[in-house]
Parts: sequence; structure tokens; C-alpha cells
Amino acid sequence: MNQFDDLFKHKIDEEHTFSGQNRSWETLDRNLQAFEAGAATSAKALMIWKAIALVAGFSAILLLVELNQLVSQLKNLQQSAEGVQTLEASHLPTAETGALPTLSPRQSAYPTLSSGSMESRRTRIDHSTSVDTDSEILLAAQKKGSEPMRSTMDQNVEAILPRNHTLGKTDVAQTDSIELKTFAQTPLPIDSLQSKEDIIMPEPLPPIIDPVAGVNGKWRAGVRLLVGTTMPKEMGVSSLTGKGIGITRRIWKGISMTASADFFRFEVDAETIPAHFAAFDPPPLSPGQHFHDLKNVSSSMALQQYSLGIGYTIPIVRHLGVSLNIAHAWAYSPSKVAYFRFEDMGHGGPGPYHPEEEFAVAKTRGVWQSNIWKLGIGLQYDWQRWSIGMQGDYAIQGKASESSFSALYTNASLQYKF
Amino acid sequence: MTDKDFIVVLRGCKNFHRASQYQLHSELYNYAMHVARRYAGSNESAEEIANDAFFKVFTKLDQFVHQNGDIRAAFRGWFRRIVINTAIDGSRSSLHTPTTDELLPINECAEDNGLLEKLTFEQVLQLLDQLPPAYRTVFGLFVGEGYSHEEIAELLQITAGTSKSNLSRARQHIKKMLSKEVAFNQFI
Repeated sequence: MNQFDDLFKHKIDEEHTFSGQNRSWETLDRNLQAFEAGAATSAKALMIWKAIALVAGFSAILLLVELNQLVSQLKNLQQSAEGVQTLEASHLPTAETGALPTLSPRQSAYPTLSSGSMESRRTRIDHSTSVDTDSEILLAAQKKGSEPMRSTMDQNVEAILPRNHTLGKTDVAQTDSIELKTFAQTPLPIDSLQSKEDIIMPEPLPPIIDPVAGVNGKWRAGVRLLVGTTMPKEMGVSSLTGKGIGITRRIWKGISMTASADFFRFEVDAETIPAHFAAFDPPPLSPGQHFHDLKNVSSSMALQQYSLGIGYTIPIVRHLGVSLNIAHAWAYSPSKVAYFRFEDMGHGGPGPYHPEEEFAVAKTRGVWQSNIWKLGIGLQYDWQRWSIGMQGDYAIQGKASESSFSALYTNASLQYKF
Repeated sequence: MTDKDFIVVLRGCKNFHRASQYQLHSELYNYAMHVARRYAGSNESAEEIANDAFFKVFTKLDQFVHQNGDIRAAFRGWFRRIVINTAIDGSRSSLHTPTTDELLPINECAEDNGLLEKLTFEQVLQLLDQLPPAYRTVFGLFVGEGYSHEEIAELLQITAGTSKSNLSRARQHIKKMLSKEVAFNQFI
């Protein structure tokens, strides 16, 4: 740069105070408010959509699992139905031949009036049968140490012949083959032919499908979204928004035990320290400053609330019911950064006075609140596996303590039964 | 404001605390106007440029990364670049528009005869205001910020030759205006 440029630079770098700072700040403040409103709205909307997506994904997975179970149960039912149909069909005579249906191996083991069996029996009592068969059987029985069994021939004959038959066993053994066809045509009572153990029992039916357990499930677990406000309304304290989880166990009929954990956020932007937020400790100001007045306190706060309680559901119509709840809660406010703005009130004297501002930053104290009682009433709608609810709770601070406040909450919940 | 207080204020600004933002605005308003006024052409335009720059700073403060050294100086440098870029963005459409003056041949002008030293800050700004936007921007970047012609060319998306030409014409215009002023004063 040449001498001209150096001189020019020296001139434009001279100290100068520009006016219009307040006007500039007002314009900038409006722009920032608009930006923060849009950002907050989009951030909240994003959180809500994320929660909805999470619940939808979880629900989809559960529905898929349940669908899979239902399909497998349906297949089992179909197979059982086919089995029962086959079994029933096997007991019915065919229309073309009028002959008896084919017997299962179990059925064939018992003496019946089928022609195939007659043929085999006829063979057994034929005269050509060795006489030594009986003695062989007796010897075998004696070897086994059991009582001598009646010969197979005797058993077969007795099974075929009527009770009052006059033919002796010996006579039967030595007689020529007896024409038993005539007896096959005579209908005989089943009791005389078969013992009770021989009665063919049908195949046992498959077990009845258990009803859906969810309807009668004792447990419920789910998520919930909450909005609340301090009661009475604290100036400078925003509404409390949060999310939480809850679990319920049915004890008896409509009575159940409940447990929940909720996490809230809210903003403090007030001219004075809010009455029920005593955990704000303004830091000491610079020495030598007098007549300072607190003009603004701001902070982003959080609140954790844990509760145990009892609820009762009164059914109204079908799956809709009114829920009443009472619970005891504990709350914790974690330590957060707070910003304080002070103004110097002035030292007196004539003329206009422009107050000087001083800013200070300090951390709030983490505070536990106990002895909080919550009374709630709401509506609950039940499906087989799911339950949705809408409830209002009034949280009363039973014992006045540092950083304690009463609040009114509204929550929407979605629970799964198991 | 100490460095520690400055860090606290920056943290507050990151959390969108209005008090901290107001404090930072108060601290840097004059500085922003000083930089913006060289390129704006008027106080109102400079105020718009400063507000836009502050808005960018408050909404993108997380992009300011400082590891060691003087944090206030580093932040001022970062803020200055934002103000310059905002000023250039606002007048970018007029940076390539040739004015009637650009079409005129360059004539050597007489020196200012020491008048520049006697001018006040506002008068110097008025001289700058009378320059075409293209000349004023190049002159401000070269003389005020110390950018090279290559850096100016990259910043304004022009050639280094155009930057040199604009700078030369800007000097000529200022000297011409100063010589007219000298002649006027002599006449009086």
C-alpha cells in the first residue's frame, strides 16, 4: 500500500461511536424471538414425531410377532381338524360294497367278525392242528412261572361261540373245522365279544386354544407424554413439558398398583426470582456497587418426578372406563445455570440517568422435593393388547419446602398388556 | 469485561439467553458498525449489515471454535469476517454491474494536497459512500482489511486484474473528489 492508502486506513480506523444501538437491538431481538419460536416449535415437533415413530415401530414389531403366533395356531387347528375328519371317515361303511372298512392295526389285534379273521380262525381250529399245541402252551406257561394260560384255540372259540354253547374245549380241538360262517352273520352284543379294554376309543382331540392372555393380563407398561403448569401460575415460569414411562399391575378386579417416572423441562424468565424456586442464589456483585436492583432471572430448568400409587378403573361402556388414581411422588430439580441481570439504581443528581447493567451467572442448587401427593382422574380405552388413556393429575406439595410448588398435569399414555 | 466474563457471556449466548446476547451486542455493536460502514454506503445499510451479522453469530455460535490464546481477539476476528461476508453478500449483485464511470478512461488526478489528513471520520465515510459499490468494496478490502488482490478475487468471484483495476479507479475517484474539495475551498 502506498502513502495514500496508509493515510486513508488510518482515517477509517479512527475511534467513532455510532448511534442507534437501542434501535438495532430491538430489531435484532424481534428477529431472534421469531427464530427461537420457530426453532422451539420445530424441535418440539421433531421430538413428538420421534416419539410417535418409536411407538409405531415398537407396535409394528409386537403386531408382527402376534400375527406370526396366530398363523402358527391356525395351522395347528387346520391339521387337527383334518385329523378329526380322517378319523371320523374311517368309522363309516363305504357305499359301494357295504363291506366293513379296513381296520387299523390296533383294531385288527382284537377278534372281530371280519372275514379275514374268520379265515385265520378256521385255520387254527382245523383238525390238522397238532394235538401237542396245548401241551406246548402249558409247558411254556409253566416255564414262565405264570398260571397256565388258556390256549389260543380255546380263546378264539370262546370268542366266537355264544355263551351257552355246548361244545367242549376238547371237542372243539378234535372236531373237524367248524363252519363258523353262520355265526358271523348273527349279530352279537358287543359286550360278549369284547372286554372293556378292547373297546376302541377315538383319538383324543387336540387341546383347545387358550384365549388371548392380554385381555386378562395383570401387567401393563407403556410411555406417556405430559404437559403441566404450576398452581397457582408463577409469572415467568413456562409450562412444564415432559415424557415418562409407567407400569401398572392389576391386584383385584379394577384395582391396580401404579408406578411412573416422568422427566420435565421448563423455562424461567422472570423479573424476580420465582417464589417457589428458592434454589436460585444470586452471586455477589462487584465490590463498590450500590443500589443494585435485580431486573431479570433466566434459566432452563429440569424436573424429575417418581411416583407410586393405586388406581381404580370403573367400566362405563364396552372397553371405555374412568380411571381414578392417587399416588405419592418424589421430585428432583437438578442443578442448572441461571443468569441474573442487575441495574445500578443511580447515585442521585440532576439530569437524565442511564442505568448501568451488570450480569452474573450462577448455578442453582439441586433440590429434592418429597411429600407430593397426586390425585388424578381420566379416561381409559382398552383393546386386547393395548390400552390408551388420557388423565389429569393435580400434584399437591404436602409440606412446604425449598423449591416446592403445586402443579396441574395432563398426560396421554399408551400401554401394552402382558 | 474480563476474559472469564466474556466466556460466560458466550456460553449464555449459546443457550440463547437474551441477557447474554444483549451484553455481547453492546460490546460489539460499534465494532460491527465500524467494519460494515466501509462497505454499506449509508448508516442505515450498515445497521442492517450489522444486525444480519449479529443474527448469524447468535444462531451459529457453535461454529466458533477456540482452543488457546486470546479468546476475545479470536472471536473479534471471526465476527469481523462474518460482517465482511454479510456486507459483500448484500452488495454482490452490484459488484459486477459496470457503471458509467467504469467506461470512462482513467485520468490521472492531482494529489489531495494534504486535505485527507484534515478530514473527519464522517467526511471520509462520505467519500467512500460516493464510490460505486464495486470500487468501494475492493478499496475497503484492500486498504481496510489488507487482503491481497488474489484473495479479493476469490472472495468477490472476480479476476485479480479486475480487482486491481477497481482499486486504481477507486483511488482516482477519491483523489478527484478531494481535488474538487480543495478547489472549492480555495475558491471560497
